[in-house]
Amino acid sequence: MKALILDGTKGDGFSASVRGRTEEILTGAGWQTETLTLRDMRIGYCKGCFGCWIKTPGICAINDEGRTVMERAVKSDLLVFVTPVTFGGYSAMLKRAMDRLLPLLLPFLIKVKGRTRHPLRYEKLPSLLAIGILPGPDAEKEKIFEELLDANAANLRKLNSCILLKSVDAEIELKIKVSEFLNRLEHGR
Amino acid sequence: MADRKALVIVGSPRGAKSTSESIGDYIMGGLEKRGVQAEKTRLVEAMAGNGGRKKLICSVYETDVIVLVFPVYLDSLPALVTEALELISETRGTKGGAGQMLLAVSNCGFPEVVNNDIALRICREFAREAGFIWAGGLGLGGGESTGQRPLEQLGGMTRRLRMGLDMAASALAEGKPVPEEAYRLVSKPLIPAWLYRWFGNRWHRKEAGKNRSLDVKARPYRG
Repeated sequence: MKALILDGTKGDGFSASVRGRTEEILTGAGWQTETLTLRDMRIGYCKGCFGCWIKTPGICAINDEGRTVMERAVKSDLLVFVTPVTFGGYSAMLKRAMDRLLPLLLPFLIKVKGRTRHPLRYEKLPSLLAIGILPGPDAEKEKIFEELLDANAANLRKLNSCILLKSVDAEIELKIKVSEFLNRLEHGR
Repeated sequence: MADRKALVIVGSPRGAKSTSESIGDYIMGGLEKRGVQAEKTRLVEAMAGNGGRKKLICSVYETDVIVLVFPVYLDSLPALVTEALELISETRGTKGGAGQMLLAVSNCGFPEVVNNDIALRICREFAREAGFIWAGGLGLGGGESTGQRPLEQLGGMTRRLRMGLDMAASALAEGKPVPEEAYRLVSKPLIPAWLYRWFGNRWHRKEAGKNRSLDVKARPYRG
């Protein structure tokens, strides 16, 4: 089973520790793990041009490392986001990479459980795990972050889990929650 | 209020040919009619280099009202907009002006207006963190219906949207938050959801059909 970690942090002390610990937990659980350090990659903004839908289907029109993220994501079973919680959402760095994942979906609009969605391009897509880092408790930002991940996962029709870490008590909480989610994935819940 | 200033920030990565631009232009016109000195900036240009970023920071510093108009990408703000908000938040600490207001107006590619909610709440959190007075967040569903044309040219389809935006402009010109009625008007569907899906699918098939050898459902990265 393959896990792709997208590190959308600035690489400061606590973030680096969270990323490193996440890699250890996944590897220890038998996952083949790869990490993409987004701050070191050349990933342009999605231009909203629909090229990945109507000109080069499945491939972003921008030829940079955004294509690398897309290719690795498709071949993964689990996509892990490590990010500071930014106004309740993802960091801009992570969002650059995520916006470029639009080719995971087909252009058409369908109705799924009362809501408009796009059909999926691939039969198998990764589940999502988001690890959001906060300096301290913030109920509204935490709620937004959880709902954002739920919404992203609903568009992919995949399982997801969200772990919010405040720098004080992170390590044990991270191991417990990642392990719980991996267990859920294994049993398809 | 003749010397009140507004900055309309268009956050669409598509730049000028976008629904966000159409909405931004309409609001800008509304503010100017009400005596507000309005300026527009497109993030796709402003964020392209250090010069543009510095100008953006200065423009934010000098204004009374910011109207942030953007499309929803993957249930939240496009990376371009997030990066601009990060920049503003980081630099504002020493230069933040008291009483500055922020109105966010989002539009999403799905017809259901609820798809704007998370993005607008992120904007509200940005306002809270950066010290802006939150004037409100207006969400529009089915944004592609405008065809990126000026809202005034779309007749009855955008009547309620324009009424809501006019209310917002009036409130901002007076330094007040946007009234509830504006939310209700802007959130009304421009066209029924089933029709929006039908038109959207027809457009995509037509565009893809221009190249007969194209396989729209291609899987280039099959694992």
